[in-house]
Amino acid sequence: MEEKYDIEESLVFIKEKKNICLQFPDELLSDAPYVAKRLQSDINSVYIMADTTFGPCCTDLIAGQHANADAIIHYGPACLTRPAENSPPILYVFEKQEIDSDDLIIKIEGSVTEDVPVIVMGDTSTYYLWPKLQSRLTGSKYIWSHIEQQVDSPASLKESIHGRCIQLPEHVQLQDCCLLYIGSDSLCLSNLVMAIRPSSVVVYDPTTKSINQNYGQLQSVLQRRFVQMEKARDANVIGIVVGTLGVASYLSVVNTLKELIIASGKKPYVLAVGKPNPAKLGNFPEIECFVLVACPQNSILDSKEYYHPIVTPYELSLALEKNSIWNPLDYQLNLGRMVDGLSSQLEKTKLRAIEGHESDDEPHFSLITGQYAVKKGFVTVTNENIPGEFMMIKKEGGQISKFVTSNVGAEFLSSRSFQGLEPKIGESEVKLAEEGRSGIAKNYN
Amino acid sequence: MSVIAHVDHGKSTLTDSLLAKSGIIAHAKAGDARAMDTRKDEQERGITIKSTAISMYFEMPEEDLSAIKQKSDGNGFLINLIDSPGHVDFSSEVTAALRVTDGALVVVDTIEGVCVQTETVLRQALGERIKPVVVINKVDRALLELQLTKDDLYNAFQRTIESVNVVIATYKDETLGDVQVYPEHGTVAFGSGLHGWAFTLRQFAQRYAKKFGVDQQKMMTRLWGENYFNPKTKKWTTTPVAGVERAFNLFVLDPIFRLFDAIMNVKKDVTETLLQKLEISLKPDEKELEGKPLMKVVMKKFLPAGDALLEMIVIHLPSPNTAQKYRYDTMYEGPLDDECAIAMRDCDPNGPLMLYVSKMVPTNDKGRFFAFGRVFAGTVKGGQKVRIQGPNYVPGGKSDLFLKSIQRVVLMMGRSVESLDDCPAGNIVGLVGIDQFLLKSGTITTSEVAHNLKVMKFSVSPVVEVAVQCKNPNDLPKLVEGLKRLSKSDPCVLCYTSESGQQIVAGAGELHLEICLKDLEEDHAGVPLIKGDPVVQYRETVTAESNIVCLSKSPNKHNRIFMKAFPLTEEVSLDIDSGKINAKDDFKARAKVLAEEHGWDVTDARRIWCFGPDTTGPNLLVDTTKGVQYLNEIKDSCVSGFQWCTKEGPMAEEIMRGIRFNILDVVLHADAIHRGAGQIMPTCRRVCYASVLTAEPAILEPVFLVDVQCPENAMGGIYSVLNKKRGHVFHEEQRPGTPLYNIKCYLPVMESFGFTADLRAATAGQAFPQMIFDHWQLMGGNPTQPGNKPYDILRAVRKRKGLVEDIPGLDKYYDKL
Repeated sequence: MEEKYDIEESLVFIKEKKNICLQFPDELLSDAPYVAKRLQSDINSVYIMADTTFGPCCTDLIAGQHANADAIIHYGPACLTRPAENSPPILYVFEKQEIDSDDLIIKIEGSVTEDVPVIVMGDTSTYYLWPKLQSRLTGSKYIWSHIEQQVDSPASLKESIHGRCIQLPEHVQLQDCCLLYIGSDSLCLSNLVMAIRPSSVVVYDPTTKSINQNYGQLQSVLQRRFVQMEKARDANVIGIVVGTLGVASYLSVVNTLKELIIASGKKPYVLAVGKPNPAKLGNFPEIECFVLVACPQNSILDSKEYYHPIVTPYELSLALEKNSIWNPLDYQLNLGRMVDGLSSQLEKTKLRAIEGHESDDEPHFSLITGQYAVKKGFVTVTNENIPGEFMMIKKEGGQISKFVTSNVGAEFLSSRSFQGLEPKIGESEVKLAEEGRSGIAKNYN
Repeated sequence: MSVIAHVDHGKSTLTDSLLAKSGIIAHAKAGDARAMDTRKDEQERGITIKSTAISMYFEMPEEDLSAIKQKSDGNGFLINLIDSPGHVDFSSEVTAALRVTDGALVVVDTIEGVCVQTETVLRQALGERIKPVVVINKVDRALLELQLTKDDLYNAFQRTIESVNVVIATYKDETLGDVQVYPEHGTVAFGSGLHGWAFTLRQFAQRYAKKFGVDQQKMMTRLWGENYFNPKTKKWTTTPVAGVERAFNLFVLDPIFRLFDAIMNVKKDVTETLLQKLEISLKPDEKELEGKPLMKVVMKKFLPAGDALLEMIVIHLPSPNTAQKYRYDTMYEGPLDDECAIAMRDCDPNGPLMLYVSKMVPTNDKGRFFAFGRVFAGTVKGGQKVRIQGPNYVPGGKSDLFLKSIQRVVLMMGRSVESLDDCPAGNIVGLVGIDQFLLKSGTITTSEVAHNLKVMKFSVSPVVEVAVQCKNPNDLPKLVEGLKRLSKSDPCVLCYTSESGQQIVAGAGELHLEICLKDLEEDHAGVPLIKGDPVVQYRETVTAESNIVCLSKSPNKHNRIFMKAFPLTEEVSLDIDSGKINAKDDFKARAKVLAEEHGWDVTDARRIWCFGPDTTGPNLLVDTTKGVQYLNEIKDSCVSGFQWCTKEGPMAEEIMRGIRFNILDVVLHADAIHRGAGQIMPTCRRVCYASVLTAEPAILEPVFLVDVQCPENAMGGIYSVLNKKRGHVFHEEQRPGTPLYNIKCYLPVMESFGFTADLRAATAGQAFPQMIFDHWQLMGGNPTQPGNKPYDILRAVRKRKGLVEDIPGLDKYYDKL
């Protein structure tokens, strides 16, 4: 236990800090009391944070703020995303996966034969083993990555690739290297591959003790993302799902996206639903596409269970630009790096809207349906013939008149068969209001 | 008017004669030029791929004007002609042509007779209320190759005309009246497009009427059917008498036979006298000719095809004025008494503009298109501000509606165009500058109350598809642009992206796809492509009632839906496909049809919640619950769930077909917030899946109707190829008077790839199949159990789609109570 949770280092880290928050993922929660007891002392108070709002990989700064945290210790797998500026010092304590290092070394030496620089990275649970590996896998071609487990302030963080710092020798480009990854196939791996674009990838999986040199997943992942992006192009109503409150620049990304959607003549909704699942997002049937602003490891929701497409901010920015080009090499998951691009795109879009380009109201060819998809133009109604928001249209041959509105919600409601309770004015008896049911749903009868 | 026919019956060749007549191409070239085949590959392959329009102006001699029974003004006639492809794969081009024309010139081969495509296009023409006239073509072949006698030839003509009339009678439209064709009325012409000659009985009647001094009309009726003339007694009889020839044979065929005989057997002196008798004078250099070339020249002078066709077209095909009176109501979606409908009825050039764009024609400017269509009312001008209404436009709404100006109006002249200032109602035009607002077709109007003109219904559907990707991944944007252009340029092709990110091009058949992909690679995208193997779409269906009542619980476990799936009869599915049972119908009327024709319970039939997928497909969601509270609140969520799941079936995410889902009972949480869309929609989807999986699921595969014509000695080869490909013959018939056999068979589309080539190899090139999608056929075998074909197919489909190969089990969707 002492070793598993790095109690020694933790004690050093929390020295002289008053409020300490320990963040546990669900599977390690059973050990939380022990760890808390060990770290507890007279001068500090220890809080255990569980059931994080978003993914357990991110540090839950909001929950930490509730406890006025002076330090947060994060246990278990982490996405190592750069936290927001106001974050207290963080210590990451990783799990320690059992690895047969002899087997690993034999297999690696057998398969990494090319004479190119090899970047060694791994799952967070394998890093404890690295000093040992470093001494046995000698050779100048290995470039060892390093994780800063202790973050005193976000500003002091060095430039890194998903939290992993590497020092490249001079004249070596990332793209020319081979990536050696120790750990099982995960989103973390594909994110790394996407960010580094190595010439080749070798994956050693410690649980199966197998080595895989044909990592081809990325292509199919990206192809599926392309489809989602194209679906987003067809959407007129877009929901921005806030999937993080701790990642640096999340707020500016959300705000810029919102403005960008409006400037593109579409309708945004901002939703905070905690960790998204199909039932939660299904409650917004009028929204045609969701964009999830979250840490890189939670960004890509590749599930068939969702009715509407869910895209990443990068994909949405492409979808909102008419002639954007899908280039997998530019794929970006890091919110911090997206801010500038997004705001310049926003400027451009606004400018275009003001200038009023002739081609802007042209329908676009939807690659999903093979038909033309028409932009509904909810917000920018400038036609002089339309008095205000509402327009009365007299229906052919009759007395029925119909409201045509540019309001998304109203338009959706009018297309539904159930439009709420019928008022039945005058038909039902007037009664005093009475108290309804309360409590949790399960207890209703 | 459109020129329509089966493939290789000589439409383009015959059209040449008309072009020559109007002076657009030289007389000498007519028959070889195929001037309406404007594409390089059309000329090379010798088939028409795209329909091409041309406008021609003719003047009729005064004496013929009296024969015209409709209102006309002067003796100048403008004919807008569209030459259409005959190959079934390009049927959609024919549909697009028919919509904008009022008359059809149906070309039939004397020897091959009425073929599958003749019937298809004729049926479509009648469906659009288009009046047909017939040309029996390739008479020269009957004379030269088959050496038919006069009587045999008469019988061949008679048979062909009868079979055309059978088709016409089958698809009769009351409003159109009797449109069967009769040689004695002049609605049938006989001739040879290749040699540039043709005649109608009217022409011969005219000649003989003068000679004998009888009424021309009377003469015409006598020249056909059971009328015999005895030259010795100069008496007419209506029964055959020994030694007396049929009038048709004597007066019409005899001169032609004698000419053929004299010229082909090089009897110079006989030829000479015949020519003098027929008042045909040859130029000196033409006199030198012998055999076929001489005959061509002589026949062209004797019976010029252009004259015969023109006469038939002008006299018998309706003018827009006449035609729109009975056509406007079938084409217009709106009320028949609004200003647009009235203007269309009267073909009023001063009324509001009503123009239907039926297809897009590529311009020389790459990526731009002419919007090709017909002005039904009003006058279209360059610079005019118009309303462009796409197929999804709803009157009064704003979506799919654009207010734009037409840049230019052009006249389509085969391979070239001519600019126009304006163009009044009744004509076919090309519009410049509006192509970016319409994908394939649409309505253009100036009236704010105008509804859309009805969209065209194609006889073919894109059932064969192929995945394409660019060789160089960086070319993706070009490919995307190319796909857009491709779908614009062809009325039928469908380009889309599959869930797994592959670009798919779907077409009507192998040839259609081949042409589309070639265009895409060489022209529209202009980048090298990697093409996958052609694949077909399947449909998921059920063959029995669900063996248990299926239950699914919502994610919060507070709501339950109970459901069972039942197979729909194929008749119901077909009626839904054809629109006879329609989602937009009044529910009472619909229930009546279902109850009376398909034995449904009326109460059930009235409680159909929706059709799916896309709210129109052949699957039904039926509410059979009793007294469930709040049920109306969850209807929308259930409908969305149903639409979603019918689009992606449980076995291989293929579209569902022919399934009826009965909601048996619903348990809902009392609190509205706990039975929102997010809870109900996924639940409805899951319970539908569970119902399908418990109702003996099966897959349907598309099947082609194949029509092959071949000589007897090739039959063995055809049968052996068909056997190998799971095809089966259901009709075999010898064409009377010819050594040819007609074979009709069903062939699974999946097996049709390479079928044409195999057939050619097995029959030494004597058999050429025409394949058209016919129906969905159940594939025997349980697709969820290993060891049979559907199982293997589904696994392959799942693999292609990037899914786990195992079909998910019932427990994923079925919840225990």
